[in-house]
Amino acid sequence: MALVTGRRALAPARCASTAAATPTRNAATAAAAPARHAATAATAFARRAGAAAVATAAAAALTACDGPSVSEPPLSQVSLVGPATQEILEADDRTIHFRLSLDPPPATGVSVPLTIAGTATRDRDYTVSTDLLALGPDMYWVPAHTASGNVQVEVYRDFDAEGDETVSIALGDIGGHARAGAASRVELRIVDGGGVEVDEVPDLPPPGPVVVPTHYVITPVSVEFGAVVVNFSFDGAPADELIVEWSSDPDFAADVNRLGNVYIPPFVPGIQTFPEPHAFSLPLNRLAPGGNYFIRMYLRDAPESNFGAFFGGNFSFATNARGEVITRCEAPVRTPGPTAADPLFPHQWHLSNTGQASFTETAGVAGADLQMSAAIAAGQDGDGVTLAVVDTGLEICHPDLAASVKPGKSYNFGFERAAGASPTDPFNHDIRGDHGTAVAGVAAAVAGNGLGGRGVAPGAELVGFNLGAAAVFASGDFDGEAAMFRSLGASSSDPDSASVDIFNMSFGTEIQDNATPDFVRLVEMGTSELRGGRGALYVKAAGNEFSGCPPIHPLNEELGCIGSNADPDQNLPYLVTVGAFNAQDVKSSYSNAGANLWAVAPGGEDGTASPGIITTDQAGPEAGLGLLFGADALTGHPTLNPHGDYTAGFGGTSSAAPATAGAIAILLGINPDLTWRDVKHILAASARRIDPDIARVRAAFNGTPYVLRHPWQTNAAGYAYHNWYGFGAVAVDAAAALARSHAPGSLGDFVESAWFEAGEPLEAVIPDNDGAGITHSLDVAGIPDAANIEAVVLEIHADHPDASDLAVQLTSPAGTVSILNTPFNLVLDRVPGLRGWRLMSNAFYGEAANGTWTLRVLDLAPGDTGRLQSWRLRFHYGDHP
Amino acid sequence: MNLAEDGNVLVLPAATASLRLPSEFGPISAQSFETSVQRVHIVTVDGEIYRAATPLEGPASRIVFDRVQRRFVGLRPSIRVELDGATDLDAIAASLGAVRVTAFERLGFAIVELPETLHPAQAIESLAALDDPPAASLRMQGPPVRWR
Repeated sequence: MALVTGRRALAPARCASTAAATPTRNAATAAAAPARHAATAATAFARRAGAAAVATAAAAALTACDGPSVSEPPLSQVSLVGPATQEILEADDRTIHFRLSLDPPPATGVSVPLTIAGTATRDRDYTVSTDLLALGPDMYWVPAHTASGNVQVEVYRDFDAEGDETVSIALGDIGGHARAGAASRVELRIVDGGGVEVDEVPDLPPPGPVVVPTHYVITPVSVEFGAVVVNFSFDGAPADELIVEWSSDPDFAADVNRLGNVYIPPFVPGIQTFPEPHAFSLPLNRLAPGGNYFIRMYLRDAPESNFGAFFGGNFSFATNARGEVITRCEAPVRTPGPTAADPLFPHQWHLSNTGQASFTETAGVAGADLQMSAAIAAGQDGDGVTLAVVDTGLEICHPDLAASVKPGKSYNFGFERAAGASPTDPFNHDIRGDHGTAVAGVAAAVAGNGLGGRGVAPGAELVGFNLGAAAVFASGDFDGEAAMFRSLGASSSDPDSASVDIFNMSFGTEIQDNATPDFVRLVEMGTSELRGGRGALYVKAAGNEFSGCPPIHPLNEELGCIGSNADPDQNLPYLVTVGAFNAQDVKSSYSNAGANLWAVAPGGEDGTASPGIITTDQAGPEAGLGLLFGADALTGHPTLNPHGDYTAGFGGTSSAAPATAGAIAILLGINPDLTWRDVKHILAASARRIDPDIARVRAAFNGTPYVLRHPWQTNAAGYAYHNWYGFGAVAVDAAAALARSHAPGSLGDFVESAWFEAGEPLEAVIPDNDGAGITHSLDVAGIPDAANIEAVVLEIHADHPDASDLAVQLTSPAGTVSILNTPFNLVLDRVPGLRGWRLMSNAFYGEAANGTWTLRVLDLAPGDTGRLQSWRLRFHYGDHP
Repeated sequence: MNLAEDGNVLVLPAATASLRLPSEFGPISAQSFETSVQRVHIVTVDGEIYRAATPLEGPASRIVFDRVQRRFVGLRPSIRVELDGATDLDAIAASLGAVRVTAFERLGFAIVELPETLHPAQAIESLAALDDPPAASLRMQGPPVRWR
């Protein structure tokens, strides 16, 4: 800074030392101005800053430089470069950049004051920052020979109703050999985003009473079934009438026959009702042989009360030539194409995305797939690996699945209730699509048979356990929980699930609760005892509730409706929880997000506007998902789907899970000695970071900004993580390469720590509608230094009238931030607090546990206040020798 | 009316009853009464009132109140019995007239399905009277799963 060169050698020699004393952090720097301006600048600065030290320094400078004048350099023109006026939408959460231009660059430093005014409130509605050295409030130093500086105005997004506001920034009296140029003032107009008072936003439309099935039995002469009418909202409802009808027309446009009607008494507000089921019987002698039949149940005054097929709210079935309900798989005859190539494979973007549109309006993005071209070319197909589809069923005789099915090893939990059914045939008699058959095709449809498409791991052996025959029923003597245990490894016969390597779980629940102790025991057993002690893999669909909800807050659009933390089982480290991405290589619109995701895999979109997943459907043109969702692009396709055995409209995280399960089968096929943790590690280490530029979502609450969704973050162990994507998209070829080189068991012993308690009951008030929230720290010690975190579980107790107001964030000793509960999570809507909720984060994978952990709890909606009562942490880690 | 073993669920009676629980269970009280068509249960916790209505009889009439989650939950028509070396499932099944017993030896427990007329809480009470009583517990209904 003391350079004195050429014509710009301004200060006399005896002044040079002063001028050279480039200011650092005090106002004496103003003295670096040329002699004749120094006094003015310094005095003005001193006046503005009101600092005696400044005045003293300035005077010293003046004295020091009171020598003969030298040749004058031109005055530097200081300007604020940028649009003189700008209109900013507050909701955009933008940072506006201005440039401070100095032309020509000053020969010595100058001081630049900014006058900041307007109707907006600084540090509540916006902040101002620069890359210049601050001399004092809004007073900046521009060093000699500097042509520009930057001024940023961050406009906070908030949800306060304030009306439009302004911010003006003007150059003040410039000190030094410079003066204000023509552009010396800018003005921003902040267009208000409007206010929201969450608690006064209309609640979710009361769902009203719904019809929930309780049981079915198929006898040789009738179909017997039952239903209850329940009112989940407790909002009360008037009396109604339950109507049950059957038809041969899936749309009930014709041939509608009344089977029964029952008076439903009114629901009293605030009373949780446990009604007795109503029973119905449809005699088969009223039906024609060889027909398709549909049953619907609804409330007369609320036709939407039918709970929908995914809840089994309707029944359907087909009759054979003898008039019996078809309850087992009857293999259709299909003629393969002229070559062994799978004709639908070129359209299966999830396996090889070339930018094809897959029968939709939108082309995909090349490479947005499982990145498994090398595995396909090398024939790595999961050979020898057993993969269980725990689902609604599995069409074991499907032309494109039969060769992948392990004979005699599947199980039908409903066989005792379906005349003619086989215990080893998990046939789904419902003809409106079999979710499990579509899931199975994603994982392991046969390759190279000249039919349809192929699965990710066509060499894997499929078994199907139709948990759906029991678990969709909320009452009665169907024991879905017991069926779950039997399906997921706790049974050696009827069915033999203990010999399964990979369990696909494309199902779940949404409730603020913790996994049951018995489920924890189940997956602990499965991961420690099955596969010869190497542990089975439990692959779980994260859920499809991100979008489409009636929002309780505008931020639901960006943050999602329900988080992946809403499924209790997904907050356990023993599962591989998978979200979905689409053919455009970003998160599928519906895919739940959260810190418990491990990875994402193809799930696609709706199959009409944007590609869905092409997979197996119930065989035959008269059955399949099309009856449920409407025809898709493959329905009736004369050459690619002539028999109606495939769908292009599957998707959801239900698809992402079997895609991942198939990928894992490939890894285990390559290296059967991998443990379940090895597999998870390989998936994390090889995952592909998609949507790399995903932006943060930030808003100010009570004037304090809070980041509600982070960009990708790389933790202290080098793992990139994002709540939308976990560690990223499953990348099969990269994972396969790691599977070859990875030493099985090298992650050390899997240890679950004791709880680390945060101390006595806190009862700390969580400030209402405040972006700062409350923070509390916990010191963790005693975990081996060489240990690597594999998961962190937080248990939190917080009292609040509406827990959906709350955000929960955890910061590791290394500084990694993980949001474990995103605010406005609808699973917490009107729930009175977080009651010992256990939330898991994978974001700290590989980090060390010892040190200070910081919990931050925020209440981001006005109107009610809660308290943080207690919290504690538990670590799952690899203990290295 | 009693609190289940872990102290977190309150078994609600199948008859008219009123109970204020001992103080170690915290500020909780319950009342049950019958109308001609249903039984109404009223539970008060920390001044908050929770109400449920059930049929007078049958499996749907058997509910508990989960005082952690603050909600009523239906009971499954079965109980869970912890397995240890001494657990005699045959004897347990015989004493309860069990419909079926499914032992999950890998998980260390069994599910004992009960006859329709036997309330699970009664089943547990009767097991407690055995010479070498097993660790038995209620099984609550869970939410139905959704396919994703």
